[in-house]
Order: sequence, then structure tokens, then C-alpha cells
Amino acid sequence: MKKLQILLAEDDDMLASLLNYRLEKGGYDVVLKNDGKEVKNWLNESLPDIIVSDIMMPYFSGIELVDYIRNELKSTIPIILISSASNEENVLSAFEMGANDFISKPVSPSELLVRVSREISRID
Amino acid sequence: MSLYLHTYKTLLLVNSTTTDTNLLWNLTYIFLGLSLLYFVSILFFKKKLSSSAINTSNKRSELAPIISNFLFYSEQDSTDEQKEYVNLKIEIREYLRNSAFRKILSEILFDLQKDVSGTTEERLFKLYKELDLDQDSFAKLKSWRWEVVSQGILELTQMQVKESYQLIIKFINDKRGTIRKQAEIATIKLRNEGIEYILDSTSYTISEWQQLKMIEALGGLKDYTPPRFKSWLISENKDVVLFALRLIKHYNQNDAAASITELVKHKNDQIKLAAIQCIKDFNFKEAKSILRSIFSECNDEVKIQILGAIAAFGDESDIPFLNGVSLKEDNFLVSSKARSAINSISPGSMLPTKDITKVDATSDLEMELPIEEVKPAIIHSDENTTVSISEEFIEIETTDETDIFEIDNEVQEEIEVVETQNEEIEKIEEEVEQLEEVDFEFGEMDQETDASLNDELGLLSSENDDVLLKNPNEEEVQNEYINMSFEEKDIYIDAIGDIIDSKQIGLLEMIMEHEDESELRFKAFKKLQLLKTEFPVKAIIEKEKQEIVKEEQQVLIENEIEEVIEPQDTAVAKELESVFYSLYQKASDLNSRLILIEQMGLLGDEKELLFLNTLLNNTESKITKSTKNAIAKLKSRIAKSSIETKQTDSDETITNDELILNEQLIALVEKEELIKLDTEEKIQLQFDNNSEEIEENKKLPLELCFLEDEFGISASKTKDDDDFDFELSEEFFLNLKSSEKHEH
Repeated sequence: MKKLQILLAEDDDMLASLLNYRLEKGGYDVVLKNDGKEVKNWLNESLPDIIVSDIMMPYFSGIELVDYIRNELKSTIPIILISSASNEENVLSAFEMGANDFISKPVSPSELLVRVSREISRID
Repeated sequence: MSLYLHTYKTLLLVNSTTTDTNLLWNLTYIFLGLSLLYFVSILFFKKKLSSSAINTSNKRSELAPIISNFLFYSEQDSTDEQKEYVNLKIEIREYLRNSAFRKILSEILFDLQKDVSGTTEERLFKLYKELDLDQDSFAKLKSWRWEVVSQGILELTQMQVKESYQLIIKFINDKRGTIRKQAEIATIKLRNEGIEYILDSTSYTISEWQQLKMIEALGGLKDYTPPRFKSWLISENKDVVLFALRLIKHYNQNDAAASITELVKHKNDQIKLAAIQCIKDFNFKEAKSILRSIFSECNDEVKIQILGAIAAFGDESDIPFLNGVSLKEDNFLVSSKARSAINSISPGSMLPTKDITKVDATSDLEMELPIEEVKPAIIHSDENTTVSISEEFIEIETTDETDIFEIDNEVQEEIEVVETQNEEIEKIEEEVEQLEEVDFEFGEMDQETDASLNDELGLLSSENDDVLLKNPNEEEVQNEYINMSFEEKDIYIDAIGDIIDSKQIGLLEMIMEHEDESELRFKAFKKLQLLKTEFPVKAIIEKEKQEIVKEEQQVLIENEIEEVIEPQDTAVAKELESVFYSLYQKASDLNSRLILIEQMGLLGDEKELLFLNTLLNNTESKITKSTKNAIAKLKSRIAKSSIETKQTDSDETITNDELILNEQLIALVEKEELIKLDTEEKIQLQFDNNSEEIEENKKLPLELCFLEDEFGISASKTKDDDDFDFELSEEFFLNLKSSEKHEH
């Protein structure tokens, strides 16, 4: 059975590694990218089943990424954003742009896994 | 070298000191070498640092999955994963012998601790202890360097090493501020009862920023039940008291009313301010009395805070106190705050008074005034007249020695008096409204009643009535004067001396200031000097009362209206019925008035007699003299006309003797008016002695019987005929004797 693919966009290596480990252990195929530019380039070639992205990233922020996916790529794939607690305005903007969910730092990897599962189940 | 020598040969004319060129070259080489060494060392260290960073990064990348494996390991994992976990644990223990590796591992764990939460975070704390990384942090606590100690406390706190609590609390009273502050935060974070330990034991100051940081740390505690912080309000450390107050406010512990109220008496102003703020926030109304009692002893900042608290939960009973503060306080901010508090308690009671243009009161039903100016009751008796019954101002005599709270009761009493007066005024207003449509007649008001009413209402005496009722419009008179010719002005100034009132004094002053003709100016000056010399008191009184004349005039009219309301006082203002009354009021100069008085004596009747009686009180001697003459003439004429009327009506004939007697009586009356009251009594005696004879013969007119009542002559005394010594004509006594003989 083919695993569902998750695009994880996180510039913090340690957190990215931790979340990557947890999501892979949760049964997902994780594609890890460290900045917005890499994410954009990768998205031009293929689309994952779900995207988990940090809002604050180099080159391309999470909100811009949502805008790009919804308006440029015209895709409806679920997007979960990770933000710091103080970025409430950004979260609201992201929801307006079309983000499906968000989770604030410090992140509980287990919680993220549950949210991802919930978004996947909605697609089904 | 040849070039070098050649160069110098070409500059032979230059006289310069020779330098050892070898030295110069050597120095150049040295500096070049040092520069090269500097750049090489920079490059070396840069490369070393970057390689170190790369190594660290590589190690982090290597360790990341290992740590993730440790963090997410569970016993339910597959056997392969369990084997991998055991192998990793063995491997990492080997690495841990390397201090650099330990350092990197610690950094990774601290970084992750910031980004993860929940069970992952708990596992991270557990891993930190399992790998004995906490021992490094404990070791740091023993360092002599404050930054290392602080770092150790921070690491132990971040990784929630509960065992470190006993070690960390020792730094609560450390003399190094950074360590102390770090220890305070750690104490709170490591145990829920940490805050209590800090409040109990700290002897150093706790900055406001630190207090906020600690409150934030308390907010992060799980299952935390705050203690009753009122227990620390008795601390000797003022910062602990302040922090306790802040915590009480933060956790809404409103059971500390008594303690907080007591703290407003604290010597420290900071504590006072914090306590008052607490009282305000918790709405401790029972603290009002204490706040008021300490008010005078506080500084301006605390006073403002107290006023703010009273404004927040005060009521009408606090307004006298606030009024007192606004009147007495020299500091503008405090008095302004007091007025603001009054407005908070009673919105709209304090209105702007500065730079406010005056609006004609007659056009408005009621004019609002500031609270200290108690609103005067205004009664509209007709369209053009507004009658102000009273205008009371709350005035508090304050001296430096007088405590503001002593005058509090006085102000309260003043308010009560004013309220009572306002109630009375409202009643009068209602009555006047009822009477607005009723036509009424003015009767004469006897002098006693008039005087008593004036005393009661605090009005001017009746001697000023004629002045007050004249509607003194100074501007009109002044304009009139300005339009006069030189000769007219001259006559006018001469005439001024005959009429003494404020208007004339004001006019004279105006002439002195603005008159172009020096002759007239001098004349006015002399006249004014004369007036002030002759009537100094009057002049002063007139000047003082000049501004309130208008209001007093309205009050007078109102009093007259009130008298008319009373049915038993039908005689009040009877003089107003006289046709001469209005003419007299319109007469602007003395001569006109004298003529009118003379005419009243010649043409008037009982009404004019009453009016003339009122003029006897006039201060102007000429008017008084002329009035007395007019009264004498009028009385004789009245008596004469009465006799004539009687003669016409009676069918019986009058004897010659009786006619003579009547004529003598008329003469007597005339004479009596010219002499004083003593003689009046004697005339009355004479009249009484002859009354029996007159009664028998029925030859005297009936009106004469009521003359004594009309003139207000008292009852006659019983005296012998020998006592008669007043001036009577000899003919009178001869006639009497002859009549007696005739009877015998």
C-alpha cells in the first residue's frame, strides 16, 4: 500500500528532523524542505497529499506558500501551518488565504500527527 | 642603489637631514609581515570556527535521529526498533565521554525543549537526566563566575530538574543580582510553593520587571493554587508587600480588605499607592473614611490616587469632602482631580466656568451654575422681569491651621441650608406661577413690615427703595450726558449734587475720566469730593451695591408680589395707587420731585398722604422738608373738605361759635403738622376735652373723630386743663370761656 506523502517545510533542522521522524513513524512518506524556495520548486514538479509548513521561512513564507498553492497552482490540498504563539495575525491571514489548520509552537509531535490524520480523513 | 644615489644627487639644493634608509626598509618589512600574519590568523580562525560549526551541524544531524529515536521510543515498537534503540543507547554513552559531544548534545536538547511540548517534552526532560547531562549543570552552580552559575540555574530550570530546587533556593539572597533573579524564577518554576519561599525569605528588592516575570512564571505552573497573599502584607520588606499587593490584585483575592485598608496608613508612599489602587480595583467602599482621614497627610501623588478611588466608588456624601479639597488644595492637579471626582459621582454638576460667555438670564428659564455656586431660584413674574430670590455661595474660610476635615461639616451644613432655601424657593415659584394670571392691586406696606421683610431676605433698607426702583441704567444716562451741549452739561453737573446715588457718583467719575472740557471735569471732581465728604458711608455702600442693585430690585418686586398674595396685607403698597407715585418715579431730577411733592400737598388726597409719609424717610433733606410741608397742607385740606362735606350733608344749622371752633381746629391741624409729635398729643387732649360739647351740639364733622387714627396719634392722657401750654391762639381760649358763660 502506497504511503501518503507529506511535504514538511521547516527551517529549523532539529525540529524538522524530530517531526520528520515522528511523521514517518506515523506511517507517512515525508519530503523535508528547509526553505520556501525549495518548497516552491518542488511543488512545480509534484503535489503531495498534505503540506505541513512553518510560517516563518527564508525566501518564501508559509502564507505566501498558501497563496501560491491556492491561487497559482489552483490546488485544494490540505495545508497545516506551524506558527509561533505571537503570530496570531499571520494565522488569521493564512486562514483567509485558504489554510486548513494550524498548530502553534512549541509543537507537540503527537498532536501534529493527529491533525494530519484528521485532514487526510477529510479528503477521504 | 645607483638609482637611490642618483635621486639624492638631483636634490642637492634641498637641505634635509640624512636618514638611515636601511632602517626604513626594515620597518617596512616588519609591518608587511605583521599584516600578513594578521590576515593569515583571521583566515585560520575563521576556517577553524566554520569547520567547528560544520562539525557541530554534522553531529547535530547525526544526533537528531538518535534523539528522535530516544524520544519516540515505546515498548510497543517492533523488535528491530527496540534493538536499534538499545544499540543507540550504547553508542551514545561512548560519545558522552567526550565533553564536546556532551556540550553539543545539551545544546540540541535545549533547542528542542523550546519547540516541543506535551509528552515529547516530558521525554526530553527524562532523556536529559538519563544521559547525566544535568550533572554538568549542577557543576556550573559551583562556579565563581556569575554568568556560569546563572547558566547552570537556567539549564536546570529549563529541564525541570526538581532535585536542584534545594540548591537553587540558596541563591535567592545572593548578592549578585543576575544570579538572584535567575534563582527566583527557577524557584517558582521548579516547585509550586516556590513563590511562598521567595516572599518569606527574600531580603533584597524585587524590581517591578522581576515581579512581572515571576507572575508570568506562576502562570506557567500546572495545577497551581495560589496562597492567600495577604499573609505577606505584614512583611518588613516593602518590596515583598508591594509584590503581595500585586499578586492579590492579579489573583483577585478580595478577602484582604482589612489588611489593604490598613496599608493606606503606611509610611511608604509606594505601598500607599498600591494599596489605594487595590482598594479602587476591589471597590472597598468601607475604606473611604480612612482614605479621607489620611488625605491631608499625603503627598500630591497619593492625594490624586485617593481622589481617583473616591471617584470610582464614591457617592453624594463624598461631594462635600471633594468640594473642600477643590477649594482648599493649592496644587492644581489635586484640585482638578477633586472636581473631576465630583463630576464622576454627580455627572454634570461641575460645568466649565472659564472663558464662558454670559447668556442673558431673562431669556432662559434657569441657568445652571457650578456646584460651588448654589443655583439661585429665578422666578418670572412677567415677561420682562426675572426675579432672583436668592443667590447663595458656599464659602469656606480656610486657614493653614484649619484641617480640611473640620470644614467638612460646615460645608455640609451650608449645603443643607441652601437645600432648604431651594425648597422654599420652589414653593414660592409655584405660588407665583399660580398668580401670574391674576390681576392684583398693590397696597401700602407699612415700614415695620417692610423693614422686617428686608432684614429677613437680606435686602437693602426701604430708604433705598426709590433708588432701586428707578431702574438705574448707567449707560443710558452716560450716553445722554455725552450728547448734551456744554451749557446743559454744566447745569446737569450742578443738579447732580441734589441727587445722591450710585448712578450719579458713577456718572461723576465717568465725567472726570472722559470729559474733554477741563472746566467741567474740575466741576465734576469738586462735586464728587463734596458728595463723598458729605455722604462718605452712603457713597461706599452705593459703590459696593452697585453691581447687585439690579438683582435686589427684582427681589423687591418679588417681595411686593408676595405681600399682595397674603390676604391680610391688603394695605401693602397702597402708595402705589397714587397717581403721583409713578410720576415721582419717572422724575429724574430733584426739582421735578420737589414740584411733584408740592403738587401732592395741593391736589392730593389720602392716597398721596400715604405716599408722602413714605417719602419722609428720604435722605435728601430738601425732599423731607418739602414732604413735611406738603403733608401739613394736605391734612388741613382733607380736614377742611371733610367739614365742608359734612356741612352740606347736615340739615341742621351750625352756630357761629361752632364755625369758629372748626376753623380753629383746622388751624390747629395745620400748626400741629409743623410742630412735632409732642404737640400732637396736646392737641388731641384739647380735642378730647371739647368732644363732649361737640357731640352734644352735633356741629363737628364725623371725620374729625378718626383724625387721630389716621395720623397715628396715640390715645390721650388724662390731664388737667392747666397742663395745656402748647401754642394756641388766645382767641381759642376766649371763645371757650364765652361759650361756658353762655351755657351757664
